[in-house]
Amino acid sequence: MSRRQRGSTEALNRRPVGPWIALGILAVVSVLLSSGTGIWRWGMSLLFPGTDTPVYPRADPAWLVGQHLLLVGVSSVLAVAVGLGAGILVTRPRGLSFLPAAERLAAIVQTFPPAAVLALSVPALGFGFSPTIAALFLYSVLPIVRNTLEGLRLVSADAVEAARGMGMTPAQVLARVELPLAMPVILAGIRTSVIVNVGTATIGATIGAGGLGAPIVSGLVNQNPAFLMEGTLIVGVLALTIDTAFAAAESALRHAGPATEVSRNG
Amino acid sequence: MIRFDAVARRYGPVAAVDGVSLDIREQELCVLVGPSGSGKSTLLRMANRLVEPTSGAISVRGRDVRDLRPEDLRRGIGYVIQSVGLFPHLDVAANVATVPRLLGWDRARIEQRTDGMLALVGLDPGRYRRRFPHELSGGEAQRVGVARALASDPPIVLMDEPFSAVDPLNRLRLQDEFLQIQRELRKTVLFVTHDVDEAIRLADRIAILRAGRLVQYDAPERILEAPADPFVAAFVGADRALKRLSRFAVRGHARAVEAFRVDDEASIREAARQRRFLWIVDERGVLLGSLDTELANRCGEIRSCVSTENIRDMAVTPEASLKEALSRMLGASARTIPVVDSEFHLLGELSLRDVESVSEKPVSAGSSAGSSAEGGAGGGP
Repeated sequence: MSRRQRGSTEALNRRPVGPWIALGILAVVSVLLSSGTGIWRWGMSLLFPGTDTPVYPRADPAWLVGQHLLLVGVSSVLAVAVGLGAGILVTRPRGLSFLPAAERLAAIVQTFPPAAVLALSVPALGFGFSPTIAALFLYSVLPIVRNTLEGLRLVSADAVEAARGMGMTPAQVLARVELPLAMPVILAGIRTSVIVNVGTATIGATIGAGGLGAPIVSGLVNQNPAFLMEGTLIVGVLALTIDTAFAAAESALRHAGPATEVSRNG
Repeated sequence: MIRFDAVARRYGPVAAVDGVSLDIREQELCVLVGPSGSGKSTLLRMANRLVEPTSGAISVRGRDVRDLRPEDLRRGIGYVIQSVGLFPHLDVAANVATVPRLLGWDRARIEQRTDGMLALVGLDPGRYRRRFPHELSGGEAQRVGVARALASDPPIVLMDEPFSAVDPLNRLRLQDEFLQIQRELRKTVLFVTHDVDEAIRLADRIAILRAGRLVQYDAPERILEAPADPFVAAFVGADRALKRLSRFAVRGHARAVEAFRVDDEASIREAARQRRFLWIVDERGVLLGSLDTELANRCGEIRSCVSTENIRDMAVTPEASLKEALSRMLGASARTIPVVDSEFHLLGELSLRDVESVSEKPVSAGSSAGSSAEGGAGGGP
């Protein structure tokens, strides 16, 4: 009892702060970006008086954000579909023999640095959008598989036994008991993987995928700190915003029902 | 209602259940009892096909269980497990509504049924409907588990050590409440426990298992009276004569007795010539104590000679077991104790001879047939 009370007061104290900060920063940045590039240009030339081009000239910031979100979105949707699917398949009776292999594979691929995956996928897929998607997908599918496996493993065996004993079909046990109970852990995996993806996607610019990596790479090459600032700042805000959205989703899930961690004892 | 026919279940070379034939009658509460590893849980789980037998056949309500889809079979059989297995992400109402939902009942019927079930197991629907399992005590959770198993009104209920995880005091209460429910609903119940006392309290018939084999299958009284072999005798315990007494209620063995009003001195003096001890009640028929008539002859006011000491510890209710009655006799060093109702009105008396006679009488199916504990209430003339 006391644990729950403590938990909910903590949540009450914590909940309002994160989203408001993130929303505030997001609002400021969007105002800066939407008022043409005027205010931004003025601010950057003030910050870095040495540069004569204070704004990345080859694309509008909003366009870069769009490209970036496309990279992250497409790769993440693929990763969730494949990761969740694989995690479920290898925990079903028929796929159980693949479970150890899946666990090991997930652990191994996670150790590859994303830049290496990107470098390896260029010979296969060429430069541009698709190899970046492939690299991001490969890199982000694994936390999702791992958390799906872990989430399903943590589901109370008694709840599953009771569900079966009361006459649920295997599909009903999965949809009504296992997935809802595993969801907090699975969602945490998706959150990690998407957030990491937002940062990693900048590497795509090195092979011409565009996105917010473009000003960063250009800034590095041309030794222009304003370009660097433009790319990193927006990536940071983007990551923060998405993370806040996930936090809100997780908290909504917790409020709809208790978290697995607490209820397993009950 | 449930029939096991030479059922065996082997895991590799090990036989968890080894050729068990068992027939559970309709509306009967059959308890499977045995030490751990005796195969009682495996046997139970074969009735709803959570475990498939290696050989032999099982029929439920006259139909071979293999002819039914496992899901359909299970939806017609209530199921309670030791750890309760409530769904932690669903509130109490949704947990109880599980099988009705699977059966596609409409919303109104489900709601009505859920509230009715919660009330049946002693949980106020208004207070408990929206709670989550982690907000319940062990006993409350187990009650919800029972409500969930009974929600679709299945004729058969399987219970796998349902009360084992609850503390002893709560376990007794849950057992009593469950007996009440069972008297009302008359389900066919297959109940697994490793606790002999629980089996004796609840069972219409007890099946004792050992190493996958059925050793004895009989009414609790008969098992206690005549254990089939030394294993059963040891398993039910050296105090089986006492345990057997716990199966009999005071009602049915007590005898009517005249109560004397404390202010009715004439009647008391009259009765004192024939009896050594009298039960004395007050003006409203409430038992005050006993009177030793030899003392009464020598004392002026009757009221002052009535022995009221221990009277609250001696008295039993008609619902109490003979085991409790015997214990009260021993505790008060009395050969005869009064039988009272909840308001402490005298209903009758029970003597050590009455208790002893139980061991001599042939056992009848019901433990509390006949009634002689009435009369006497309201006091003498």
